Formats: sequence, C-alpha cells, structure tokens
Amino acid sequence: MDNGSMNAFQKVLFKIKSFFVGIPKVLFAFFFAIGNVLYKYGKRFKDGDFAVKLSYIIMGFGNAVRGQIIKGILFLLAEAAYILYMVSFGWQYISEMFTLGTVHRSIIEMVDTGSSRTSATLSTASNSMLIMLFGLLTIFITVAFLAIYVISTKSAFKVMQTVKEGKKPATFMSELKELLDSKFHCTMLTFPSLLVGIFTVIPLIFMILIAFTSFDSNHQYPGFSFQWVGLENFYDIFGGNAKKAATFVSLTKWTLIWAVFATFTNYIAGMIVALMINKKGIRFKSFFRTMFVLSVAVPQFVTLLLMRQMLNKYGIINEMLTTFGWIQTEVPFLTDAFTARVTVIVVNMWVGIPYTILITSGILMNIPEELYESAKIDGATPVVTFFKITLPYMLFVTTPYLITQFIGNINNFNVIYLLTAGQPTNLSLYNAGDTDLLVTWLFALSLNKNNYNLAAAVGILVFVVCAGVSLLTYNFSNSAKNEEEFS
Amino acid sequence: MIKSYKVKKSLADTIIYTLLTIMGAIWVFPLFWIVMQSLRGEGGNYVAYIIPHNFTLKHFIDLFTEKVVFDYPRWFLNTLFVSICSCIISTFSVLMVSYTFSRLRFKSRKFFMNFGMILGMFPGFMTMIAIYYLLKLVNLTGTLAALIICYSAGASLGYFISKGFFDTIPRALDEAATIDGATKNQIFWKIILPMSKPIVVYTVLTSFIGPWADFILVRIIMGDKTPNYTVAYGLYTMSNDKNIKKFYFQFCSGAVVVAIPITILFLNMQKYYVEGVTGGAVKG
Amino acid sequence: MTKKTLAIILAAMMLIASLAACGDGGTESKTDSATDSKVESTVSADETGLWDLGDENNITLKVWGPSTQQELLGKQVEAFKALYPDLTMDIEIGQCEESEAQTQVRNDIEAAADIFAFPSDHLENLVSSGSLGAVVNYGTVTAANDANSVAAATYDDILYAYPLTADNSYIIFYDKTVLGAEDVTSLDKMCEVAAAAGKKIYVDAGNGFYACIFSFTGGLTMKHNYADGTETYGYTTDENAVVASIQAFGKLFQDGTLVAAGTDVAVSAFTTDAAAIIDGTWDAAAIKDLLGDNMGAAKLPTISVNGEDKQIINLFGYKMLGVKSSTAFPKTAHALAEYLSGAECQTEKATELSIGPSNLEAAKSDAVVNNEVLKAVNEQSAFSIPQTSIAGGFWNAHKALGEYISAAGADLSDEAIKAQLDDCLEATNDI
Repeated sequence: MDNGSMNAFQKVLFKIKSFFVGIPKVLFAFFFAIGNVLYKYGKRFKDGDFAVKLSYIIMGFGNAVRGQIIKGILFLLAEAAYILYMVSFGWQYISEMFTLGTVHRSIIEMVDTGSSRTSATLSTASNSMLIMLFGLLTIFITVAFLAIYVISTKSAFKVMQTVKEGKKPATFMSELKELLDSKFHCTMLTFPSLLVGIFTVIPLIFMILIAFTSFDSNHQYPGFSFQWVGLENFYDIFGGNAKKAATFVSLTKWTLIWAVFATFTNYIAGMIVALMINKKGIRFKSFFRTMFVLSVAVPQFVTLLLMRQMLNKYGIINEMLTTFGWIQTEVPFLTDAFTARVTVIVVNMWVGIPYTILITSGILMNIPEELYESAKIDGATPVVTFFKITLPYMLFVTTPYLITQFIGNINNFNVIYLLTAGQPTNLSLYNAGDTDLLVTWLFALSLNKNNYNLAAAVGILVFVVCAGVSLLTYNFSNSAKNEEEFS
Repeated sequence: MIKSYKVKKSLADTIIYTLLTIMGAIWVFPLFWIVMQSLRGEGGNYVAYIIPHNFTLKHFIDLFTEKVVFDYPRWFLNTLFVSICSCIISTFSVLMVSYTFSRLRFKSRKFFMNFGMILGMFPGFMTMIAIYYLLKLVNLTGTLAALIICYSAGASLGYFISKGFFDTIPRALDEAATIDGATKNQIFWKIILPMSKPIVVYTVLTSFIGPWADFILVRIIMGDKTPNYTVAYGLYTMSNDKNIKKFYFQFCSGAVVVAIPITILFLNMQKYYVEGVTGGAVKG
Repeated sequence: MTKKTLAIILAAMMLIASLAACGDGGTESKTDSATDSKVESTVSADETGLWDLGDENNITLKVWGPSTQQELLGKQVEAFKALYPDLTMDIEIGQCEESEAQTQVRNDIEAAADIFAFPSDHLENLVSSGSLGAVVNYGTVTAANDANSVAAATYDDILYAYPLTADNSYIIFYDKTVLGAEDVTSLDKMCEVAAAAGKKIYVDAGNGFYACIFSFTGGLTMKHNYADGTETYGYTTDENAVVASIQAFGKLFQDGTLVAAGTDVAVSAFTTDAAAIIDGTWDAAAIKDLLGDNMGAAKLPTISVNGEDKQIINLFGYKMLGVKSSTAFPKTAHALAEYLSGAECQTEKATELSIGPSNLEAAKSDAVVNNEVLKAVNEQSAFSIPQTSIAGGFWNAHKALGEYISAAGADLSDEAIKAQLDDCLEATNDI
C-alpha cells in the first residue's frame, strides 16, 4: 500500500503516533526556536536605528514613522490593551495562581441561634476556581501578546530595511490582499482556531490543572478555597484509596469490554445488513434503507428514554414476551448486572447499525467485482465469501474508522447514562454501578458529588486509555506499513 | 444447472427479504410506538398494548397551547434558531479548516492537525464549568448566543472527514486556476466549494442535528432562564421522575414533533450524506 | 506579514477581553462590598406584622420555585411587596425545580436566586459549601413549624432554612374497588385480599427513598456525624429485629403479590393490576385521573414480623426555603423567605396545589384536614424518620438491599440478609 492510498483517517492517526514519538524532538526544537527568536530579537535591537529601538518600548513606532500608519497604530493599540488588561484584571489572578487564593472565611458577626451553638455571619473565601481560570486566560493572553511584541519589533526592523533599500513600504491594503492568496491559511485558520483556543483548549487545560487540586464539595466557593495537592488524586485512584482504586480498575475493564463489543457488533452486523440491502436483485432498496435510517432522525435521548421504558421489568417487551408465552418470569433487562450489560450492547446496536449502513454501503460497492466472481467460481458460500473477502477488505480500508468508533465508544455517554444510568448499583464500587463507564462515572462524580478533582483525574486517564488504544491498534494494523514515507 | 442456481438464488433472496423485513420492523417499532403513544386518547402512561383504543390529537394541541409550565413552541423556535446559526458557523469553520489542511502548505500545519486530533480524545464534560465562566466573563450566560458559540466552537476539530473529501478533488484543478491568475481565496469559493456539495451537506446535517439532541450543556448554560431552553432540555425535564407522570403524553408528542424536521431533512439529504461520508472517510 | 494579521486579530481580541475584564471587575467589587456590609441583625416582625428591613431600599431579589408553582409564587411575592408600599422592590420569579436548585446554586452562586426552594437532603451540601445564610429569626420559625421539619432544616444545631412543606414522603394509595379501608391497615391483609382478586401491590424497592422502610421498620436508627458526614447506626431493639423485618418484606416479594417497580410504572398499573401502590403526594393527581372517586389514601400499614404487627416506618422529607449567603439584601431576603414559608402562604399552597404544610397553623386548615391524601401524610409523619442530612451512600446502599430482596429467588436466610444488611450499613458511609 503506497502512501497515496492512505486515507484521511490513516493519515491523521499516523500523525498522532508521530506526535507522541516525536515529543522529545519537538521539545528540543521548541527550546531551540525560542533561543533563536531571542537571539534575533537582540540582534535587531543592535542593528536597528533609533525608530526601531524606540519600537521596542512603544510598539508600532517604527512602522508609523515610515508610513505604515495603520499598522503602527494597531500595534500600539495591542500594547495599550494588554497593559490595561494586566493592570485592571490580569495581574491579580496571575499573582494568585500559585496559592489559588489566600482569603479564607472569617467571622463578620456572631449570630445567636437560640440553641447550644451560635452561628456566624461569614465572609466569603477566595474563589479559587475563578482565580485559576482567569489566571490561565491571562497566561494565554500574555503569550499571545509576547508573540505580537516580537513580531512588531521584527516588522519595525523590516520596514527600516525596505526604506533603506529605497523601496516603498508595503501599504496596508496590499498586505491585506496577501491574506487572500499566499497567506490564505492565516485567514482561514484564525477564526476557527480562536474559537477552539478559547472554548476548547483553555477549558481543557483548566480541567487538567483541576486534577492536581483539592477542588471537591468541601472546598468550594463561597465557603472554602482549594489548593494545589500535586498527585494526590492520582495516588487515590491507583491504590491510595482502596475503594476508588477498585472502582477504577473495574470500570476500566468494563469500559474496554463495552468498547470492543459496541464497536464490533455494530460494525459487523451493520455491514451484513448493508450487504443484504445492496445485494443484486433485491428490490425496495431505498425503502429498506429508510426503515433503518429513520431511527437516526429521532434524537437519541428520546429513543433511549423510550427504550428504558420498554425494557422495564413491567415494560412492553416483557409484557409481550409473557403474552406470547416465551417467558415465565420477567427478564431483568436493566436490573441484573450481566443482563444489563448485554442489554446496553444490544440497544447500542439499534442505535449504531443505521450509521454503519450509511457509511459502509458506498465502500462495499467499491469492492472489485472480480474478487467475488473468482470466489463464486471456486464455489465459496456467501458466509465464506464474507469472511474471506468482504471482511478483510473492509477491515483494511476502514481500520481508522473503527479506531475512531472505538474511541467514541469509550466516551459513549448517552447510551449508558440514559438507559441504565450506571445501574444496577454495586456497593463494592465507589459511587458507581455495574454498567457505569469511566465517562458516566466522571459525570456522576462532577455533577452529583461535586468531586471535580477526582473527575478531572479520571478524565485524564480516559484520555490516556484512548490515546494508548489508538496507538496500539494503529501499530498492529495493516495500514501502519509504509507509513514512514508519508510526510 | 442454471435452474438450480436460480432456485438457490430466489431462496436466498426470500431469506434476505424476510430478514430485512423483520429487522426493519424492529428498527421502526420504537418510533411507531411513540407515535401511537402521542395519539392515545385514554389515560394510563404505561399500557401493555400498542394500538390505542381511542385516537386523539389533543396532546399535540396541548403541547402548543399549554405554555405555562413547558413553553414548547418557544423552545422549538429557540432550537431552530440555534441550530441554523450554529450550523452556518460550524460549516464554515469545518470547511475552512479542512480546506486549509488539505490544500495549503505552511510551517505549523502538521502541528495544528495533530493538536486537533488529540483534543478530541478528552471527555468533554469536565470543561463545561470552565466554558460557563468564560461565557460569563463576556456576559453571555443564559443567552442563545452562548449556545451557538458552544455548539460551533469545537466543530472545526471534526475536520478529518471533509479534509478526506477535499483530498479526493484533483489538485490539477487548483493548478489550472492558479495559472489563470486566481487567488487561493477565489479557488476556495469558486472552484472547490461548488464541487463539494456532498461534504457541505454532510457537515450542515451533522451540525444542524446537534442542538436538537443536547440536554447537558443547556442545563449548565441556561440555569434558570427557562424561556431560552431548547426542546431537548425541555423534553428531558419533562421526562424526569416527577414530571413524566403528568406530562407523559406531551413528552411523546413533543418527541414526535422534534423528529419531524430532522427526519424530513435527513431523508432528503441522505444521498449527499452518504456520498460525503464515504468520500471523506475512505477514498484516498 | 501573515503573523501581523494574526497580531491584529489578537490585538482586537485583547481589546474585547480587556473591555470585558473591566466590566467584570466592576461587578466583582460590588459583590465584595455587599459581602462586607452584610451584617445581619435580628429582623423580627413587629406588632404590625412587618419585618424591620433596616435601611434596605431599591431592593432587587430573585426567588426560585418549581415550574408548577410559578403562578402562586408570583401572587405571594406581590402580596409581600404590598406590605411595603414605601420601598422599591424588584423581585424576579425564576423557575428552578427544587431538586435542581442545589446544582445551579453551587455552579454559580452569583447568578443563583437569593431565595430558593430545595429538598432536605441537599441541606448538607449547601451548608458545607457555604451557600446558605443562617436563619436569624429562629425562635419564630422554630415555634411555627413541625418539629421534624425544623430538625430537617437544622445542620449541626444551626437552623439554615425555612421549612416549607411536609409532604415529601409516601403513603398507600389504593383502589377502593379492590381494598377496603379496613384492609389497608395491614400489609399482609392487603396482599391477601389483592392476591385473591388477582391484583398486586407495588413499591419502588429499587429506590433508596422507598427501600429504607425494610430496615427502618425493624428498628434501624441512625445519627449523623457532622464532622465527617457519616452515619452511626443503632437499633431500637437489636440487629435481629431488623433482619426479621427485612425478611418479612422479602417473603411478601417472593410470594409475588408485593412487586417492585418504579412509581411511574406503578401509577399506570392502576389501569391493569394494581390494588395499591406506595407513592408520594406528587402523584396524587395522576392517580386521581385514573381511579377517580375510587382512589383511597392511607398512612403506611403494619407488617407482621414473626407474628407481631409492626408499623412501617418510613423516611420523611421536607422542602425548605434557603437564603443564599451572598445575597445583597439579607434583611429583605430573610423577611421574604419567612413570609413565603409562613402560615398564610403555606395554607394557600395546600388549598391550591394540595401541598402538605410544615407550618402547624396551616396544617390545621380545612384544606389539609379535608384532604384525604394530606391527612394520610400527616398521620404517617408520626411514624417516620425525618430526612435530615444523610450520608451520601445511603440511597445506593438501601436501593441495593431493596433490589436484593425483591429479586426473584433471593436467598432470605438469616445469614444472607445479615450479610446484605452489613454491606448496606457499610456502604452508607461511602462518601
């Protein structure tokens, strides 16, 4: 398989792998680059004239005096905005990042409660969560500002050189025009990366940091601030707290079992249905497909809540089975540990198979007809054909799709949460039930128990599991061959 | 020889028809059931039969007229508005990002692509509280704008399917246009986009459906701003232990009404959806 | 130049951010000063029935109530405002279910209502996060309300909330065509009659709120330790009595007439095979829709344990009004909370919405006395354990016990039940 035939997923997965493998290299390159920037930054100051040197303090000065007035003003505005921001807002949070707030509750006034104890009117403690969030935001803005600052000095220096060479400095309009052509990627990426940066990256780093604090229901605004606690939460999960550790191990096992079954049952069954629908000579293709696809159109939580009702001990399914005389006592679809696990996997097939049909139909049609012809001549049965030709071909082409499905299933919240909410309860687990996945546990910990720190630590571990699985699978899969040539 | 082959074939076909019919029935059954529930005239939320004894449209009328507790029509319009806005923003971000990664070459391209993939592997719930306070910083909590931002902000991280699709469009087209003096901006709008109907439809569809199904983020973002709820959260609150007994039929009819626009869209756009996802995920 | 574009955009972003920052800085200092100035003096109703609101004026407050009570709440708030014609009050009514209030308050206390209703089991979390201000007028409030409801609103000897309702519990609802009023005094009798009629009796054994009756009836008691949030268990007689009562319930489940199902299923079952169900007042209307005049309500019956009839003891929850600790107008907020939880307002609630009052005066009103359901709830409250702060693991622990004894073919031997009970008590303290 040459690299030209790697599809998008494969390429992306390859990139993930090379990302992890390349971390030390990247780190080195990073520090090297910083050194390089600093060196050039100093050199420009040395070589620049007075206007350039002044630009090191008053941003945009060098550009403005040489005719790039708009650009100069924009640089100056950036500087002013940053200073204003730091003075009015940022500084206070940055300085508190190390302690996460030192104001603790204090008594303002004692109140007689008429009983053996007196109550107190209390002041509020520092809001550690906001200190952390805004501190993080300030760090981001500072990094961005430093980048602009370095760029502005570079720009001042460059415009000096241009003028020296006797050329006219580029006008603002012409620079804008370049954004639509040679620098088009900046135009295209700025808006999406701003959104991702603010609403995904910052919150994510925030969450990662929370895992190293004592942010739980007893350390919460307005009553109490929280502190950095290092690796304590991870220590709890890995054995420091026997029950939490046991819960983590048990849930990780079930999460992986669930992910394997949920992924492959959907994949294989969906493909078989797709093959049946698309078989030559079968009529009403679009009718059959519509029957399946209809279920995609109804919001998942509605159908899942509905399923929960139907699978209830006295739900319609048990009623129907009893009426037909197929069962004597009700099937404990959602109340017995093992049955409930089977049930969620089966219901997940109901949810997932239509998607598989949609996605695989097209690929199935692409399988070269000759392969089937020769198999037919050899007298292969349809079952043999499926396992010898269809499945290997599909696996080869869609491994990366399977991996993303697998990761999606590790993080599959809806099916479990809405169908069983983690039930049946298992008292040997910490705040979890037999069908709880790591994500649903995480959700319960954060929303019901306000145990944010533990939830964040679990979140990080879920990530580690996902990344580990995708790396492993990728290394074992066919599509890993020849990858080194891809660049 | 030929005859036995034909017999075998028709036997196989019969089996397939039977299987497909049975499975199709299983898949349609819950949907059929909820429609029947929403039309049921007689009371009793849980009954052991499927076809109602009396049919009525009362529950649908209630849904749209009894607005004191659950203002369904308003929530429906909210959701529609949020869906349309966020689907426009998401579609553009996804297409812009995937086009950039597919066609343009620049220094930090690889870094950005890796980074985007890695971000997708963290479970998203934990970030909700941070997102809430970031939105509060700009005074957006409790507004529909906040929802639009939340639903579309992360959309560009799902760039890989449409990038895969763009990768299949021959580069020769770009080169020819460049020779004719077109800028990259013009190439994107005038050449690539018109050829990408399937992937555009795919992106529009997936991002349109999102707000109709989310019941977690709304709860945190909206707090007590009930007029700004979306149908999904509204239906979810209708279905909680205390409310479901009273609002069971409204819940069922509400679910049916939600499904209507999505079903219509989906069935009409199905062809493009399949083309888009197949093209993006597989052709290489 | 590409980077310059980036620079320009970042600059714009910073501008916006800094503007926003300024805005936020402003509001924050306001909150700080509000906190500083928050000195609560005793606000007591004087002879005219009015509270002393100090120098508070231009008052803005927000009150949260559940969706079904919005209209009445609005009326009551207007009535309160009318008491102070000289003051400018802007009181907003927000919609937030009682069970949801805790989550919203702890998510963002600034955006939360000044006064909100919540169920008693959320008290501990709200107090431990410092979200609630203590009741200042404790004397009046304590005297006016049912002692158990005051206990439920008290945390570690301090009264933190205003008791609002006393009906967050469950009783027997029965179909009068199957069971007579004389049958529903004994669970064994009920099962006998129902079985003869081919009907069943439903209880939600898979829910700790209901499932705790199995052990409470046998004399299980518990005491909350405020220091670490755990429970210390005790027995009115001994552990064997508790085991025996669990076995008695288990036996009825195994006989098949007592069945475990969620209350949603149970209510609907009145159209099919339910003779009686154990459920709360909130479902009374739904049941009435199905049974009409044939609906009966009674306090929980007795159960025969080793030949001795024991009254079923249940858990009794209360709803209460809390005032958030960081409210900008503490005097008015506390006054309003006291008003909204007072006799007049609780009576209105009982009359219009059939909500059982915690206020002693309201409990004597016609609306309560003539209401079969509320009367039954009131009777049951004498045989109940008030739902004060409870260790976090309680619900799951008792749920698991309930699921165990109601599952088909469960082993009900002394050893098995003892082991289940031990697990249950241990799991209660999983915090």
